[in-house]
Amino acid sequence: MGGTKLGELELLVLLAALRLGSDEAHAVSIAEHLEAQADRSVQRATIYVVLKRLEEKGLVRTRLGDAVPERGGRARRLVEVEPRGIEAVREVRETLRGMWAGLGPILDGAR
Amino acid sequence: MSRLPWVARLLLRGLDAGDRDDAVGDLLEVHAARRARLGGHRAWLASSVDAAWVLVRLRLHGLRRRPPFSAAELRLGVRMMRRQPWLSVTAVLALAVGIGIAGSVFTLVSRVMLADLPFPNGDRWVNVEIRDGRTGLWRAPSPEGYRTVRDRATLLAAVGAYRTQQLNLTDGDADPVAVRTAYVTAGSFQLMGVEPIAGRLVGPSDGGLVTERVVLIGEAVWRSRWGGDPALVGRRIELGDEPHTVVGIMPADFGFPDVAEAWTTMDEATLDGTSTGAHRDVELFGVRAEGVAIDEVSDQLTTLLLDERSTLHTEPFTRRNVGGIAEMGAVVVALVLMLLVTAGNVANLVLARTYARRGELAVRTALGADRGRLVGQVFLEVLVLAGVAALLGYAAASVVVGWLERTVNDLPFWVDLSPDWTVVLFVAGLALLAGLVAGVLPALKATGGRIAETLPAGGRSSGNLRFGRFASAMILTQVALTVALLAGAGSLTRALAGYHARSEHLPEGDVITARVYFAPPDGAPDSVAVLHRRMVEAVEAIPGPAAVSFATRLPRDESPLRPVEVELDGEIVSGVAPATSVAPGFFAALGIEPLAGREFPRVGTEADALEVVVNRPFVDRFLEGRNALGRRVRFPGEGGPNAVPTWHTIVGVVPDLGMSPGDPAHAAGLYRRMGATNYFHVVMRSAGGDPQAFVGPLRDAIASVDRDIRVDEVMPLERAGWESRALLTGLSAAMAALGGMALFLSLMGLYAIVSFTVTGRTREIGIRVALGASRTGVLRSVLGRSAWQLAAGGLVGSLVGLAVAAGTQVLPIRVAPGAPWLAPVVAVGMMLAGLLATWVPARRALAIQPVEALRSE
Repeated sequence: MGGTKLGELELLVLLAALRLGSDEAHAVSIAEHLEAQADRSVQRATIYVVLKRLEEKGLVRTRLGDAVPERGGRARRLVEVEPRGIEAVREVRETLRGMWAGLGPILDGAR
Repeated sequence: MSRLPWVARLLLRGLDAGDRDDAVGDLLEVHAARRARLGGHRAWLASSVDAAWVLVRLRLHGLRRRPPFSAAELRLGVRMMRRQPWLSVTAVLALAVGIGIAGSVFTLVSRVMLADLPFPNGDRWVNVEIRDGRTGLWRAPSPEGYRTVRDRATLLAAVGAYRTQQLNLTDGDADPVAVRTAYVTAGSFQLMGVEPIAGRLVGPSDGGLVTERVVLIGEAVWRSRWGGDPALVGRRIELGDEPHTVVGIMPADFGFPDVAEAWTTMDEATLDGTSTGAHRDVELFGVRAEGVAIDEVSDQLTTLLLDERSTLHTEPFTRRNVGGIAEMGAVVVALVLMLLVTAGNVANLVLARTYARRGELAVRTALGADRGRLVGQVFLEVLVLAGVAALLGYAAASVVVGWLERTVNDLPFWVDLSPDWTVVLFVAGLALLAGLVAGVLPALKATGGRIAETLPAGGRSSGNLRFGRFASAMILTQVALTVALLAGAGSLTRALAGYHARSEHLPEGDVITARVYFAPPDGAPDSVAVLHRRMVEAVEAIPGPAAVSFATRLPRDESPLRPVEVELDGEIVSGVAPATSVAPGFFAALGIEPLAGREFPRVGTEADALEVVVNRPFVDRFLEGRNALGRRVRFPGEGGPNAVPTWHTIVGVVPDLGMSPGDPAHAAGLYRRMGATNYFHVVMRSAGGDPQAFVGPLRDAIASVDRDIRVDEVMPLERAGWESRALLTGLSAAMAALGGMALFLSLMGLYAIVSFTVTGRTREIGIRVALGASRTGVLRSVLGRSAWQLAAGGLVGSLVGLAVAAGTQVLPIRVAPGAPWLAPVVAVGMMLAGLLATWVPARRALAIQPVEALRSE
């Protein structure tokens, strides 16, 4: 295993982008999704920085969508996860699965 | 659709274009939801904070990805400095002078006025003074007042009192030496947290009615007098004719309350008046209780101490006897503003240089550099210059402050002028500020417009430079400042010359003077007269001096002005003249024969109080040079606004002894007979030996009358007026330095502007010459703008210079209100120098050949 290392917030942003899909994922919706699903309140400014880092790593690609009246006629900057990004998420899943293996009784019985 | 808060819109403009659109659009969506959820005001605030956070995070991310400047850009900045050495040297010197002067003054102000005592809770020590409603004089509280405060002031955690006096210290058969002695209430030393370097401190047990007094000796006296002999502790010495036992040696950096060299107790005997050396008044200090403000202490002490006519003043201990902090703060602000004007003129030079590089900047723009990057490059280059200037300025400030520390002997003990981080921070801040003004503004101007359009011109410098209103305003301001500063320096230097000029009439080397002062005692109304008479008798009884006399002002020390009216052939001539009071025999004591008439007789009657002696300039000014003896003079306003002033008769004329050295217009003065007073100078002339030998007996004579009477400012007669001289020297030097720097900068700025104008208009000039334009016409068009800038600046500067010269009356000394011709002369000189500075580029314009000009770009 090699590949791109992901920070925790980078992983969450990628997962949110994957969940929302390339037509809906943008900074505002990603922040709302993280708050709703992961109970994480993340400032939009932080999302911007994370998305820039992901784009520099080649894990996501951004494009301008259609102009929206609520945005003063400005287009949304939509986020699309690149195949390398999906691969990076897959690697994290495998890593975590390997780490979690055999811990079920401990995690379940701790209640 | 809702609008974003204006704060948010403003903040987001700080982002790059791409990020800005995304951020604004997102914030519009979010803000709409916030308004629905939180309401208008809270949403406004939340979105504004949101925008600020977005700006900060994205800019920080940008800085991490791409530092504000690279090593290559820094090297380019240094290369630009070396490529144009004159501009660089000009900018560095100009900024260094401004930073150095501002840094020096800041160091003095912060160390002398803003420092705290180096004691535990030193910032809570306060000094208390009372303005007597009857006399209008500031005075210290009485011993009874001290006890009241000590026992009842609940807002002061500790209270103490002190008095200082010069006393003679005698040890065995050795000659006595005068030491500045502080009487301090026992127990005060324990508040100070100081430790002696030998022996012990004076403590509360030393404060009772004791038969043997104790003393602490300062390290400097211990080393100079006893060679640092450790056996001094425990030895008995005489201090002020009383036996004392030395109990400890205090470190050299201790001098409470300011410059004391020995300390003894102010015990209950001296406080309650039962000892022979009882104090009539005491200086009161206290330590504020924690959390208590000075105003609260002042209010409480006011109710405890004052009658309804008096006012009380409580201030931090380190600010006693120091001038207003507001005035000194204003001086620092004024110097910073002058530095900014200087930086503005450096900006002119930078603008010219930056315009010359538009080709290079256009290429960098084409290669992808944004405007911010270009502005940053220019700012970096100027910051390099400002950094060098800051180093030079800091070094200069350190030298000046170090010289002051070595030269001024009476700096309070808590003043430490060695540089520390606050000065470094201040100087660094000035350099940054100067760099911003001198770098960013011209960079924004030079990189504005369609810079890429210079590329087809082959990257050569643009001929369309318009320095515009900013540059013109800076040149005009600089010229005006130059004229005003140099005119002001000229006025002060003229005044200084007056103080330095030797008087042919005054003796040199054989007269010693001293100032005597005592607080008017309460009680018997003639107590001042009694004390004065006893002191005069004691001093006149001193064996040795060839002559002794007294005066309220010394020759060449400024005398206060009084309105006078002189009767001349039935008419009244009015004016103001300096007036001072002298004792009978004063002029004879100085070896001066009256030019006419006589001086005041030793044995006088009441009528003698109505006699005056005038000086030669008075005769010339008020009496048209005619015979003065027998003429009459009176002083309007004397005795009250409704009183009829009494006529005085002129009985003698003496030479000009310098009653107004800094202002010859007020040299005409009068002398009145000195009556009983609590403030006067003693003059003692020797028959041939060193007059310093009379100082010890003088102190003893005064102390024999009253130990509380101060004798200070002991100096040869030639040094009279030294404080005014020192002040004038410092001020005129500073103004001359600033004026010289301003002049240099103005000339360089004018040179740069005209030079650039000629360069940019070479083709146009060539065409005009080819079409038959005269050389005069060419010169007029090249120099026209500079000439009006010089003329306008010179005019404004002359007016300001005249106002400054007149305004120098706010100084504590009189300075001639500046000859009216001084400022215009400087202005004309400035204009000539300015035209000279523009001559070189102007000659270039005249030498342009049309054919070569048409070939040029």
